[in-house]
Amino acid sequence: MADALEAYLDALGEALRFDPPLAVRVVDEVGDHLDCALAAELSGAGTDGGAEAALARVIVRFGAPQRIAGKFALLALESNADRLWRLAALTAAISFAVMRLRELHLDPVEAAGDGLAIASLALDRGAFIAALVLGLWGWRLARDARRSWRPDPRGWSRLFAGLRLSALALGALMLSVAADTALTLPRLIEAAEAVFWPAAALTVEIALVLALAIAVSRSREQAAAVRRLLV
Amino acid sequence: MLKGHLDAIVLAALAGKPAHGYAIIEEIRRRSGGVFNLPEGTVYPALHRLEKAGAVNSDWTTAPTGRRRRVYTLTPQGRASLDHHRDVWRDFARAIDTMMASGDPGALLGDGPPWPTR
Repeated sequence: MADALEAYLDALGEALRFDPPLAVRVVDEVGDHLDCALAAELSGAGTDGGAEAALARVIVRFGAPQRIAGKFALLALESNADRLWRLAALTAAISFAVMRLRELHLDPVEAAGDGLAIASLALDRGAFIAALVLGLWGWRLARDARRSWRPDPRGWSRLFAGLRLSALALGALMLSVAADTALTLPRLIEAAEAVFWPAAALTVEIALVLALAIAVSRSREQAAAVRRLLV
Repeated sequence: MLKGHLDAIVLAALAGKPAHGYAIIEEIRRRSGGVFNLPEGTVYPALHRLEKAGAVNSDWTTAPTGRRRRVYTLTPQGRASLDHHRDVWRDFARAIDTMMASGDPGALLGDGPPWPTR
């Protein structure tokens, strides 16, 4: 009988694999629920067929693992999308602030004679604007998809188009940060003093972009797993 | 109809004291006199959604069986949300009562039949 209960919980955990921390939590919670429901079933009037039949009734009443996982899937997708867009907005804001500070602190006379500095600044700015446009476009598509992705296959197409655009925006942002690094690193190496703040700003910028890259990749994997579950 | 009010029903079941998922389902069944016999698996996603919205919070304890048990508590935000749901429901129920109590269909449709007359 315990095997049947554990098999059900394993199947539920497997259906929830699109969000491993959620799967652990839900499996523990549902395990406790089924224990309580089984105890009530066995102590109540409906003990026909013994303990195994009682467990089967409890499981049927709770619902199929795929169905339960489906109800959690959209919630997980929504909260993950919210996290992703919050992180993207934070990364864009910090990248913009760091870019502006760099432009303000760069010696215009020195920069005017340095072809690499001029090219890096132009690339930094252009790539950042491209990232912003692509990111906002992706966010808008994903936001529209949230209204309709369950019943409408077009909603899923919009969601994946939004995620593809966010990956492109990430690529542009990486290019912008690479241009920053090319501009800042030689000056950090040459500078004798006042290195801490530029170095810290660059490190934060790179760390945020890497965190965003991981978040975008996880979101795409999760969305694909949820679509396999629901469609 | 019940689906649209699931969050309010779960909040109402938690208004008395903190409870775990199974106890919440039993409380709903008991207080509704067995009328609200919910598909049990639907309550957990609702609890998860309410927790994300800040209406409930939860903590792990250990059940007598040794399994981990998640116990939910209504937050002040959840209590305010429940009060709002109650007000909306009272207005809705009053309007339905008025509609159903009226014995004269003309009172609902206005004077005369609902088609053009000469």
